[in-house]
Order: sequence, then structure tokens, then C-alpha cells
Amino acid sequence: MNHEISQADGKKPYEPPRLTTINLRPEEAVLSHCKTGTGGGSALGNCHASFCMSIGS
Amino acid sequence: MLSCLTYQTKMISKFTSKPLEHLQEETTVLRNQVRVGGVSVQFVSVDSAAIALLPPLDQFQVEMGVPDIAIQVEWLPELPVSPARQLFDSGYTWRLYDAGSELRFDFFAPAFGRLPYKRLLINSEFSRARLQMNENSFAGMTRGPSPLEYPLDELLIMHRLTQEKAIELHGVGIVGPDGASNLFVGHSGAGKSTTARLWSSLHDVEILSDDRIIVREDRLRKDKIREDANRIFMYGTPWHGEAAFALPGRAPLQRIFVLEHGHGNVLTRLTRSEMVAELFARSFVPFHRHEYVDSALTFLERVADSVPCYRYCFEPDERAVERILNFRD
Repeated sequence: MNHEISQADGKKPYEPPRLTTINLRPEEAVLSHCKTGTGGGSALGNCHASFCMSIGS
Repeated sequence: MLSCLTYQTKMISKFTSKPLEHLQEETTVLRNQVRVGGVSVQFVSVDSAAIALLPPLDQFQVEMGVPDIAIQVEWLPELPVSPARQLFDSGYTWRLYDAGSELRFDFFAPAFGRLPYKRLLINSEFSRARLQMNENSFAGMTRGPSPLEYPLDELLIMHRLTQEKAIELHGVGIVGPDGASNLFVGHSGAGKSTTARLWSSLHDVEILSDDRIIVREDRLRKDKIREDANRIFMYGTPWHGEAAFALPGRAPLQRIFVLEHGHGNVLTRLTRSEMVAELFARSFVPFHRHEYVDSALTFLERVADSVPCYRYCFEPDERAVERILNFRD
């Protein structure tokens, strides 16, 4: 009923809020992996040259 | 090639809060300066290796000037163990502690056991710091350490961006053959490096990074001030991905695409709230203070108000590139 009245008034119909889940990647976000670096070229190669030995995804 | 400049101790005193007071007046100190994402960082040390810039960070070297962050690098026989409240544990490479008026970042690696091999002490504005290297950790090693290497450099910039209208995103920034600049964000495995390789193989493009892009609001030059004088730019960074693209340039940001593997190269416009959430999930924000998270979300709202954003379910071939080149909002 309310929906129709709104349309008749030219107002935007009511839309109930939607809940969407967005997944975080905490292991990427906090730099806990040694994926990239400034020390030695490409991401993977740098990890081997670095003292950080964990290669990220 | 190292091209640092030498200055006498007295000459650098204006750049550091505690400027190498323990050194003799005649001691020569060395400096180097880089700028990443609009943030300038100056390193000062008596050790040339401590301020050396290795590729690709050397591309980001700039002229000496008053920096946003000044760091004094020093070697200590060992890093003292002092009680401090732990604020954050990355789970592997670094931990953060409350050190009174400063923050303390300790860095770890399996090769060095349980003790930190280097430590960064920095003020709360992320403008003045001391980087302490643990001599014990490197004793007997043939390869000298690079004090600035990952993750210290990225952590520095990431924290400093909380003080500015800016954020670091997990993405590939491409300035296309028509001058259009697009940012493709995505988690690891979403296709960022693949996208960078595809575009560079098919067209004459400038790829600012294939893994980390800094997005920030900048004022245009004074002679161009208009109502839209503040614009959103994307900056390249040295922290590249598997395709190894890393450039120090910047470009006005025109569109953002959230990469997902799919079929048919389908574009779907995101709402403002969807965009903020999707970008936040692909951002590098210090999570240990809610003020930093609030600042990041506020800035992402600003980006969402200025730049259109689409979900891009793509297939990794040349049609995916042509779809974007022919796309009109």
C-alpha cells in the first residue's frame, strides 16, 4: 500500500536495506607476508634475497 | 647507483629532532631522499649502505628537501629489551609497541630467531624516526642488510597516509593509450599482474604498479584552481607484483574496477556503499587504531563521490582490454 502511494507521488519506492558481507584478507592487509619489496626486483625474487623468508600468495 | 649527498653534521640538524648528537662534529653523514605516493622520506646515516637505494626504490629518489618523514639510521650492538605494551602483532614479520611518546616497530625473520633484527622508533605524527639495526643479527653474514627493505618502507608510508587524504590500495594502475587512467583493484590472485601484462603487451600504456597503488586527493597547481581544484590521483609505488611494474608517476584517477575472474567481461556499477566496502577490503590501513580506520573510510567515501567504480568479471585475454577501452560510463 505505502509502496503504491510513494510511486503515485513520484517518490522513489522504498527499498529495504540489504546486508552484504565483504570478506577481508587480513594476512594481506597487515603486510605479514613477504610478497613484494623494494630491495631486489620482482616480488618473489626479492623474498629470497630478503631476510623475510615467507613468500605471500 | 647510489647518488647520495654528503653534509656535515651541523647541516642536517634542522631535519632531525635528535640529530646525531653523539657524532663528532667532523663526522660526515650521508643522506638520501625518496618520494612515494606524495610522501617524501629522508634517510640519514654515517653508513653509506644504510641509505643505499636498491631497485626499484631507486626510481623514487628525489632532490634533497625538507621531508615529510626524516629517519636516522644507526647500528647498535644489540637492541635493548624494554617493557612496552604491544599494540599489534602482524603474525609474522613485525610487531608494534607503545613506547611512550613514540611507536616502536620491531621486525623479525626466522634467520634471526626470536630477537628483532631491526627496530623503528617513530613519533605519533609519523614525521621523525630512528631506525636501529641489530649488529648481532648480521654478524658473520656475507650479504649486508638493506635497512629500508620490506616491510619497513611500506609500513612507513602506510602509516603516514593516515595523516593525509590518501590510502594505499591493492591494485594495478594503468594509464591507457588514450590517456584514460584506470585502477584495477583485487586481492591476491584476482588478476592484477595478468591485467598489467595484458595491457602492456597490447598497447602503449604506462603501468604505475601491478600490485600497490596509492590514491590521494591533491590540489592542482594554483594557476588551475577551479571548483574541482582538488582531484583524486593515483600514484605508482615501488611495491610491485609478479609482473614487476613499478613507476613513480601519477595520474588523475578516472575509474576504478574491482577485478574478479568470470565469464563474458561483465561490468556492474557499484553503489557508493558497495564501493567503499570493496575498496576497504583491498586497502592497506593500520588497524591498530580506530582513528586510522575512520580516516580511511572517510577518504574512501570521498573517492566514491568522485570516481565511478565497477565490478569487472573478466576473462584474461585481449577482449578484456578492449572491453575497457570501448567502455563509456
